[in-house]
Amino acid sequence: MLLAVLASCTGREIAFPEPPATQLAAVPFYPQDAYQCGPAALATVLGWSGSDVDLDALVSSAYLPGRQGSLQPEIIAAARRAGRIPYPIPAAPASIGAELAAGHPVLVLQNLGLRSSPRWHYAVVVGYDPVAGTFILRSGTERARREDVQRFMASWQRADYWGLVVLPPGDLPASQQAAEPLVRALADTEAFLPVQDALNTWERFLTQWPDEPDVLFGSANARRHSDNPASAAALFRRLLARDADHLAARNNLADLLLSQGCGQGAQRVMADIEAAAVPAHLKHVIADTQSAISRHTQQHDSDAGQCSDW
Amino acid sequence: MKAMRFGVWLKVLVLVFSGWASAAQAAVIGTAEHLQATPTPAEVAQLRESVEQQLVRLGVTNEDALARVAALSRDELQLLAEKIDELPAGGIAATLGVVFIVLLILELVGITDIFTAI
Repeated sequence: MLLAVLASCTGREIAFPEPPATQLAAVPFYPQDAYQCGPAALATVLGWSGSDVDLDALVSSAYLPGRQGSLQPEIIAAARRAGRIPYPIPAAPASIGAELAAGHPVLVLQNLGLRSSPRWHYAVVVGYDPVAGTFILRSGTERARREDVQRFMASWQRADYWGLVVLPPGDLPASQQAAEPLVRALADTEAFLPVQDALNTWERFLTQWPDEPDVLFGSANARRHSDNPASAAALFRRLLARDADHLAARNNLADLLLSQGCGQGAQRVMADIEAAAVPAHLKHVIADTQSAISRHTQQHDSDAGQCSDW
Repeated sequence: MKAMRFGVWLKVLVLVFSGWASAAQAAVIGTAEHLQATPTPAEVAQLRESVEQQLVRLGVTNEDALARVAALSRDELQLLAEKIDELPAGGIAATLGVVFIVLLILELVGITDIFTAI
């Protein structure tokens, strides 16, 4: 009777496009210690992406003793500190197949228990066997753990289909078509990346989404940060041609012009900004820029010669 | 209380001078800030302080906690500040007693997938 009730609870099968037969043999294996599947899974994908792996450092970055495990935001933060962009994949069954098809291992959270009595676990999906009907994972102390497709999907569904890919610099996730989550992932990681890696990724985004305002803004900032002021200015102007009221772009272009001795150019960029139109979180920065421009124009009658090019 | 406020303001200074605005100038708006319409550095410093304290409470060293909060986005800080005790903690703890029996049955029926030998 109990078994019959339980059997009826197995529920509907989860439908998803079948992944190609895959076996990513090059993905290294870091067996986990005790409750440290988070750091082990992260070490696995970092190692595959070409990053040097320091497992002790990952444990210090992500393991939370009082919870006997690792939390998702801290897994993400640990990947950043290791110099890689952690890209979340769309929370949908099809995402894993798309990444496997591109040759990318996927770090997933699974609930190996029930929704009411969860047993959370991180593992890395490295393959799919259509003949046996199993996914292949680096999981716990098993290098090639096979899990029945529907069982795996159910455990992943109970974790709300959470997963990430950690890729070699310049590569993009295969499952994510929208710019916004990728832009967000890069922006939140930039501070931990070598300047050139960040710039190259922005340039890659720009090729793919040449008119996307956030991509233009991020790329312009990255060019300035890597000492390419002329090409940064060109991107700010391109953005402002599409959206003249983009205050952050006006601010940053003005600041850039000022740094090049073009006080009057900066003043023109910042002209006619109504105080009431400035959102609270930008008031301070914009006021600072305006003050700096005033100070400069008081001391200099005209702009340097090259300013007409900007 | 005074000591905590001082700590927060010290961290505000550190944030401002450490290039929170993603470029060397304090008058530049960083990309991450722009995307999130980020609150002021003081608010972020307070979030960091709060999460740091929680991490230490949960067994992380002071030094590690400081480094860990520095790598979290504002949204992640907010989430941890509110839910650090409830968020899923991947670690796969051992199961005991009655829960074990229930899970064993569920495993045999094929609902769960915890035990590797079954």
